[in-house]
Amino acid sequence: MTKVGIVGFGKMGILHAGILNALPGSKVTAICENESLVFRAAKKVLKEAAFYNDVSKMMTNESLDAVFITSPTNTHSSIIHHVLESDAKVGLFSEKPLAVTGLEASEAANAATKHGIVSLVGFHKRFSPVFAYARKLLDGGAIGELREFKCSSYSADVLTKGTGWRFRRGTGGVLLDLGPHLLDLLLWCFGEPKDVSAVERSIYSSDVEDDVHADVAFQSGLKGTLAISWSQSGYRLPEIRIEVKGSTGSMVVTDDDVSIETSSAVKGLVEAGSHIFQKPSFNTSVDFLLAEPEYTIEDQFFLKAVENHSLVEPSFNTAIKVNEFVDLIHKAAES
Amino acid sequence: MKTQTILKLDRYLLGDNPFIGVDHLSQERARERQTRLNASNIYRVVTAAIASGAGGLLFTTHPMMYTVLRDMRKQDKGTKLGLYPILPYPQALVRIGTEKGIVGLTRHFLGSLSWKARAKALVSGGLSLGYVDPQRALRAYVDTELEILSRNAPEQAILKSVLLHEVITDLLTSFEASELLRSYADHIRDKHGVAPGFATRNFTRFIDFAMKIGLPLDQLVVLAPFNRVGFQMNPSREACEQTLDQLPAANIIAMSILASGFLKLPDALQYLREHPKINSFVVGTSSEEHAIETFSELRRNLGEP
Repeated sequence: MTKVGIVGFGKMGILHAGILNALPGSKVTAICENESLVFRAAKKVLKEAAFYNDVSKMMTNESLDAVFITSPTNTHSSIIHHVLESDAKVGLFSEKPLAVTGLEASEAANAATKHGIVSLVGFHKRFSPVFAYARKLLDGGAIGELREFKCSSYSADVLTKGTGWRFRRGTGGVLLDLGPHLLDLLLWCFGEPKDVSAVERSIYSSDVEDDVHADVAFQSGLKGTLAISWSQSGYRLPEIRIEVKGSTGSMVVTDDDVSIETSSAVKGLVEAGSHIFQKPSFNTSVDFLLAEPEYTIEDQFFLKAVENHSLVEPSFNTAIKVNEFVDLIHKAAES
Repeated sequence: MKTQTILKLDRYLLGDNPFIGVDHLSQERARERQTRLNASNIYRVVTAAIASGAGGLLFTTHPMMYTVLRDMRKQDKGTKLGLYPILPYPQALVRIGTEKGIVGLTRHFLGSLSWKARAKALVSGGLSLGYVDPQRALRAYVDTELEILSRNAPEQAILKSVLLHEVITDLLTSFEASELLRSYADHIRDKHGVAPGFATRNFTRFIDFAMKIGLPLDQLVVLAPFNRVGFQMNPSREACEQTLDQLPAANIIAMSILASGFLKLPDALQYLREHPKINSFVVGTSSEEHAIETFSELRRNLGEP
């Protein structure tokens, strides 16, 4: 039985705790939360877990196999250092993004590497059967050499002036909040960026950007544009859309489906012609579902890596690149 | 709004997903539909569905649905229409949580209660910031929602069950929060006089847990996905079917019967016929023609209501 501690019992902490407590091989045995209202309410619902408001104390008192860090982004780095200082042999999961800057992310990742820790960052889109299949098609050359792309990540999360860490300069903004999922998918599918030019705008927020438009050239030569906004009305759920044109075809991937048009067949992968692969055509049943199946697939993948002590991706080291991508876009927007 | 004390489900229910922008197959399609649909054409779809055999409406407490119900009330429609509200509407909560944080969410929640409920909540301590009692908070919330519903619903409509949203049901099941689940069920039955319901996307686990903690399945409504391709059936289609087949007595409403539109109705029907323990079927539709076609076809294949 893998014993899990959760640090930060907000939206993502509750989601992971819900999945982990239900899975057959794991149990949430400790929760660390310093908002007293949440602390008191959670204590009455989750009766079997021990509650803390101090990470170091939790690490001293509990013998845990894995720690999930689901607190605000600007606290991830210090929590990672506190966990590592305890010398506990735990697997570390951090929600995305790993840190608020590339520098902070690399310090946290280097410390974790030094301790030989199994790590994973919550870029759960990689575990969506739809995005995973799209990447397999791209990797297999289903649309030939990649030439041009256009992508977006939209939500309607911020339609009035918000409060809290998501709206403070240095810890929030749409690029650090909603952006990392799309940026990670781009890095995962297209490799590293070379040149970026960008424009950022504040619509409702006073200290942070609400939307970003950028032109990006990747080292492979692939060029295109991205748009990220949390202030698009009409989006009940956040949505990602990536459109890619290649030398032999084109592809559009969203959270719901992959559509592909290709003039040449790739053996064992795709026939020539146009195809659409919708979510129900993949097997998306999971041992326990909350929100989307990719969260469960991600958590089970991580638990297995912890059990086998095997290094997996997207690790803390890989997550540095997402923070560096964010820094690159911010810098481009400033110049 | 009247209430039905003896549990008897309507055979066919109209679901509200297409009306409020929920589409598990394609969010893009949902957004297109949202721009096309307004309260008056939703009203026409609902009345067409009722005329074609939908005996009840299964819906979240989305503002759009209250507008539609109010219109029906004004037009004196909805006589004997079964009402199956699902509480709460979670997307709204998640958005407020993102904008205002979790303490802000609690304050907002308190602010949305009527002054009477707010005074009561503060006096009983259920929602005060210093002391939190999830059981009382849930009960106070349910009372407020049902008070709003009764003000908006057609006078001759009949409240038949109040269902807990799947995210809450599944979360509480995972946390083994038996007291909270039991207290919800007792409150719906004792205070509101109707059958408590639970929506779940983890059918097998919920049924196992409900049996373990002694929730009387014959007096509850359970809403869960059932379809030929196993879409949203967890942990697997086979496990859900086995749980269903072994159930002694229960009141099951099948949702996602068309796998969110991935299956055409004729392809879906054979599967549903093979599972006679399903008592009711809910399906969403966004046009009058489709409503008439769907409910007529269901009646032809799965029996008259």
